Amino acid sequence: MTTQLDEQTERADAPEPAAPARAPRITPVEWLRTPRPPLPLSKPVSLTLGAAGVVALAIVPFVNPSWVNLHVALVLIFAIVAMGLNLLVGMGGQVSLGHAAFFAVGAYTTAVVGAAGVPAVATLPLAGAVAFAIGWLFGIPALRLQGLQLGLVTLALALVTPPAIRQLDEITRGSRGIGIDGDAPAWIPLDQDQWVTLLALAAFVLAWIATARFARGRLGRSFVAIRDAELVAETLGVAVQRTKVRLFATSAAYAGVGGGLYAMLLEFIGPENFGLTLSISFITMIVVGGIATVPGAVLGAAFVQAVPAIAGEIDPAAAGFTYGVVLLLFVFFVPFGLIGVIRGALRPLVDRVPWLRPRRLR
Amino acid sequence: MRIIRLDTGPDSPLVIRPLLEVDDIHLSFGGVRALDGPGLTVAPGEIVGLIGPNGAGKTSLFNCISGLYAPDSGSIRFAGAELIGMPRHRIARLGIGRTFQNLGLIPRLPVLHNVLAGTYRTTRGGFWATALALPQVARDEEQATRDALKLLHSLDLVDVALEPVGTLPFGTQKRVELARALVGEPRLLLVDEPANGLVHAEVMELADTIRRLASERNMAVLVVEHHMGLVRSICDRVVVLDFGRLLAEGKPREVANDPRVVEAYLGTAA
Repeated sequence: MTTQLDEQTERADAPEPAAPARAPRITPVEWLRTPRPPLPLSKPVSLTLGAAGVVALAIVPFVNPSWVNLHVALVLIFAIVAMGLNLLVGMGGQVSLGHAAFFAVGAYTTAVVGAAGVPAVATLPLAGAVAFAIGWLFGIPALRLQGLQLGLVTLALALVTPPAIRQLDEITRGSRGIGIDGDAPAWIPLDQDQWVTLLALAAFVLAWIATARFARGRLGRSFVAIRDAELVAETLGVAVQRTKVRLFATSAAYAGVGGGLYAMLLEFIGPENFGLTLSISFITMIVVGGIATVPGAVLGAAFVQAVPAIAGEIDPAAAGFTYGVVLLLFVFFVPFGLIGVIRGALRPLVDRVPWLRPRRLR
Repeated sequence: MRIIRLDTGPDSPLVIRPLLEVDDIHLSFGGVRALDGPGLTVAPGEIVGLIGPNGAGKTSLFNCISGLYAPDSGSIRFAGAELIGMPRHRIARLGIGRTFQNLGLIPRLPVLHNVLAGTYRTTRGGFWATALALPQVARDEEQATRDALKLLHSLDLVDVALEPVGTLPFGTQKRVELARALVGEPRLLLVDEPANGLVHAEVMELADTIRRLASERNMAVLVVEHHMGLVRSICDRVVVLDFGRLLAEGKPREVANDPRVVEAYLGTAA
């Protein structure tokens, strides 16, 4: 018998197989299922790309008919919600199937406070704050639950949202719905659709910046630690429960601001706007776009907005069908979402063009 | 209050209050007694080895100190504060860092980010500060990155800094975990089998690193280790557990020759 008290216990690491010089040929499915790190773009390049995108989007409302603006604004609004949801679900690993509730809270805050005479645009921060507060209160008990149970509780939240709106008839005007004045203030010469699209763009840019900051650095690491190794996170000093509740409330605030903009855009909302389907479509956005990535939320929002519309032009019945099939295909074959595909496709280009990369990686 | 005397010289007995005082800890799982009243102390700057046969309760004791297990009775005092019943993150924030026997890393994150996760305790930046990118947040992050890189350097991990940690060999992951525990500048470091998966030369390098950091930072270290070479080369004192009880305590060389210890490891002669 060998003893552990002698010095014979050292163990060599298993030798690592040498990495092959050239990646072997892989099938398209394998290619789609490969995880992709973010493209190593230099700061000036990514800032330029971002600025170009914002400028392009800012021009949209001035050159397009209002029905295009409606689509663009909806994509931006949904992207805001999806970014917040992605922080919670993608990075923090806490499922919410009930974000339509916070979207509704934001929308009704804007509608009700707006009806009291406050300009709609001024109600947007309040929409975020009220959703934050309700998310916080809901999160304190809910986030003691894990995985499936949390999913079920938030699902219940999504299910009670329309009936709750009907019940609170005094405030929400129930099934009759409530009107919102989404017009620009008199001194701004913009049509309502242009005004709301630009507002949504501004909120979207702020949300993007905040999300990118949350996702990297100290907080982002604590979210990922909570997602992947909760006990370890605690031994590193992360107040796990408190961080989860704050993350949930923050994510609800994104949905609240999105909801306020949505109310301004549609100018009329009712309980049927905030059903379970909306919650599911939020989850779909982050899955299709790319879980735990910031740009993925935008791609997912665009996808969810575009696909039923395009399919619907072919055949009205095709919309729902296409939607479902595409979702299934994504879960099985494109687990890293559209952003994964884009990263995979552009990576060779970035590798070949040195000035796209930061100096230290050239 | 218990006072221990460190033998620092014939004329000047330096009196130091222990940083960690574990006293009469009892812990059982179902009917199994994992810990049956052991106690130990660790002073600032002191490296104490915790050894014993498999199942002696070494890791259980670690888990009691960092709050993963709640002992049935006893007391664990750190810098005067009672740790039993304290939330785990508060224990960590007092300055207790640890590694895990079977790793507690985040496999998908690169080595550097895993190590940076260890700076959570020593950096600032809540939701508002982060969203508004307050200058303090950027400063702390820069400082944390510098500290992390310095440790990666001294633990010879710079070359793999950007590799996902889950793809690396076990011994390398052990060092990453140690770097993560060290980067938070703990006052007490709990290390569970650091030499596991390392070859001889690496073990001696690791011993040097732990020794050096303990004396530079006046950091207390409690180390569970089977590798007696490592124990002998770094530990000021060794505590031996067997069946959840304190079996022996003393200088590494004395303990290794203690007949009770030899018996616990080898069994009685047939």
